[in-house]
Amino acid sequence: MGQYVVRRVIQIVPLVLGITIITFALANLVPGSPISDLEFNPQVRPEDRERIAKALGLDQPLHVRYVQWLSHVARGDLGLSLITYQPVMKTIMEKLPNTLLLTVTALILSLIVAIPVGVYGAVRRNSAFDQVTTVGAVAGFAMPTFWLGLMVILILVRMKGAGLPTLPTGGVCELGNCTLLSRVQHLIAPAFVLAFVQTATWTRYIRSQMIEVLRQDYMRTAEAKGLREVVIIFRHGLRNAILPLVTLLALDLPTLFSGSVIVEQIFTWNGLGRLILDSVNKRDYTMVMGVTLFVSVLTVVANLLADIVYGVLDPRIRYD
Amino acid sequence: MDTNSPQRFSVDEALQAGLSRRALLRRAAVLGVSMPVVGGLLAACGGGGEEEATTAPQTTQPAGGGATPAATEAPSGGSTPATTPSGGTGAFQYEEPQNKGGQIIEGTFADAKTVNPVLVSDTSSGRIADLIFNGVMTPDVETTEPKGELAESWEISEDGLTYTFKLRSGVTFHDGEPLTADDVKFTYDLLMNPASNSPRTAELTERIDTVEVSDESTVVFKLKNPTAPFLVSNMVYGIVPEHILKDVDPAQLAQHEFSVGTKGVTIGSGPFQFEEWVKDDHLTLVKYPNYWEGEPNIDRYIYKVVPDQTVAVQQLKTGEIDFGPINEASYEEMKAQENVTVHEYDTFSFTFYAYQLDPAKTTIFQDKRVRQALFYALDREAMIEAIRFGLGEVAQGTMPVISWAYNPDELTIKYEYDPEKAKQLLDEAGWVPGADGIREKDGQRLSFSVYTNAGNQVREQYITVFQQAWKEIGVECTPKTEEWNAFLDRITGSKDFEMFLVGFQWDVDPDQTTMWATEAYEGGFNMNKYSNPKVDELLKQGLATTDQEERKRIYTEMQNILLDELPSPVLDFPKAIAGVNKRVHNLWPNAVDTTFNAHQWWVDA
Repeated sequence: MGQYVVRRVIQIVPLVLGITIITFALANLVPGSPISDLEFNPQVRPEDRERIAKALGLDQPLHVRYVQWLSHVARGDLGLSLITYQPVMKTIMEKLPNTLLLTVTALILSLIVAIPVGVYGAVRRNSAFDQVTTVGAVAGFAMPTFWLGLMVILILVRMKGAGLPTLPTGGVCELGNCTLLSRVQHLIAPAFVLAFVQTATWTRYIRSQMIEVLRQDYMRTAEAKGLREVVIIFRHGLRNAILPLVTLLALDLPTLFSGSVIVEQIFTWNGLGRLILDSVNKRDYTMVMGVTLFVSVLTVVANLLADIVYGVLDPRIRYD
Repeated sequence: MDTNSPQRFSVDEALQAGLSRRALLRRAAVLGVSMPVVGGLLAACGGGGEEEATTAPQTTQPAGGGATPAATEAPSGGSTPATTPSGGTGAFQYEEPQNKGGQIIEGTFADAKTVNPVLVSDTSSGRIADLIFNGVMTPDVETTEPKGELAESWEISEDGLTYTFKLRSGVTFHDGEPLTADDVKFTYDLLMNPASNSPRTAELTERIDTVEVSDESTVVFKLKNPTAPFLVSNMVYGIVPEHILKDVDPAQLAQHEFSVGTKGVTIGSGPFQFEEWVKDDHLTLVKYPNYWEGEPNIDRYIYKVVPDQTVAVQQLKTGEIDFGPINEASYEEMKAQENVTVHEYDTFSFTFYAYQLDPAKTTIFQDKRVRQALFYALDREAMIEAIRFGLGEVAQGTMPVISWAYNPDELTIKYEYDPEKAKQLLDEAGWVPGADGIREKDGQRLSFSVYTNAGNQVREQYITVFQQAWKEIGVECTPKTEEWNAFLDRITGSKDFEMFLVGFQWDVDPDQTTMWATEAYEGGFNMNKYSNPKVDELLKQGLATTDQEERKRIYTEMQNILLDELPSPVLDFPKAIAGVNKRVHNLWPNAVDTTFNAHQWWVDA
């Protein structure tokens, strides 16, 4: 096990390097540059443009810039944004709490709904309840997040227009008056949209896992012992069914950090998802690289943790 | 990416089939699960496809505005239907304040990039800098003529080379230090220092010879040549405090705490002082009680980023933003909104298309009759009505309606919709219909493509109209769209096009050298290689003439040449629309300077 972990950790290095090379090349080869808005501006002379490009190091060949970036990263410095001149790490850390607040809330909400619904659907398989929730889950899969988000906003606006109590349609907090209540109110709509789609997914996982477990011999044994149904389902059934979900959750960890681009964009949620999108659009290369590196390291580490946790939880699994 | 990405492949199936976790992971990776960043990157790089379609179809990337002229990827909307008299909400009407305190939230599609006026090159940063800082001069919002801001009075020498500015007394920076002539000199030295990486350095060093302080409140600018736009184009930059920035290495200016926004350090002399900036979310300013024009009525001004246009319009309705731009498509809907006043106003923007005049690229547009014929075949009135919802004016000449150089009565050619005349001109030029109805001359078909930037719905529809309108006179035109940066590379870099359509946003001053002068082919915006020595001459004269009536005459003569030769026909002058919540008073959106009276803004209690 120890050896296995060491080997996996060593493998991470070339993997992450590869990711950074690909991202760096892709980000830089796309047409445009961080100073494109100076390019079509009649008051900015070509000399000024060239001088600013040089100051940003954009006149250097691609490989030179990559090596420079990498050597800074090796010293723990992700550099400055090419647009706002803010340290990349600082910007990531500013936005991370918002993203986590949204994604973790959405995950918890969706699990709260998905576990009972999934379990009940499995136990009463093909019942009316099961069929309704299956249709609901398929609808949840199929619904584009941006559409659902815009619909929620439109409904909230209509409610406001009709004088009904409503919720804010965007932002993380009321500007100029940021109270805890206001934070919660701002969280509800985006978390609901994000959770809606996730609930569909989780319901399906849990239902199919439960069905699998319910078929097992030990379930019949428990039933034969005369245990109560609740005990059978939750202590013997759900606990076993949930095991693979732990690894799925671990797999999902990086997405908790990178956030949801679409929901963050629609609800003007100031998180990492929007940061990624914005910096790609603005060709803020150092920011793109910084966020990519941050999330890919998390992804790789989360995968490793998932493997290890799986081994711990399920003694049948051996690594060598 | 979305946290819902696992839905894309069936985990149920995988688990039930007894796949090992490693195999599951591998499959997940192949399907693109849990590769959030790379996935997001690819989605965004793929022409912005999903993003642009779902959210903001008309983001202004290279935005311009205020005193910062810039080409616009998407001019923000228009206003009054052409059938009603223009002017919409009319001239500014002052309302006596009935309340003090409160806040105004302005919505913006794009966040500011810097709060240092020396470094500003985009509209958003310009808006914030305008509120925190004062310039020596400012263009008058009604006449666009120069008006003193920090300057109490100014004098121009006979030869037009020496400008002497007398500064107001009693103007203080937000820390209480007085603003003096030394601060003005310091600011211009910084602007002209190449090390500071200001985007204004080249133009200013080309125009200004020296800046000298003759006493505490008098500063003298000596120019290299008489420069007519100098006051409204170059004397409008915000004055920064020498006592804060004197020891800063100019090369470090952009990342200095003054430029990235720091309370107590980012200080100017404007009506509002810097409070807080949460990047990509909001920027807060608070009133400066000792502002020299009078204490501002509101306590706080917040600049809030709302990247999605649909959402921005909804937030105007709910009052989550008090003031913000509206797109054409939402115009009618917003007019019906009870709590919002819709302002339509003329801008310095125009939409034009350019014929490739470089014979090395194509020869089909060399004959001016062809260029004229195509322009006659466009029903611009109908295009504006249908595509801009009437929110714009048919362009007469090249000077925007709002400019003092706008002079439609003196222009000789009107280019009213006349397809018969178009056909006649093409016949005269020797282009006769071939077997398939498309005109030909010497074995060459009158067939070409026109480019514009993808995602700008108005421009995309315009070039579709080109295709239909020109087909009727026997011309084959293929509309093509490209992502903004690729498009920009094409028209300013490789210049590999036969025709393109784009919009421009001009400075307050009517000088258009960068578009029509022969020398502007390299580095400027004469992208289709137009060249006429007479036009070059008139542009030079126009720049060197300080008398406004005389300049107007020069520019009218130039426009008449341009209308005859028609290198790049100007289609329309779009209007902008903005919504202002009715609780907000004295806020008058306009294309010159919306913040001109920020200290007078007030809100209902």
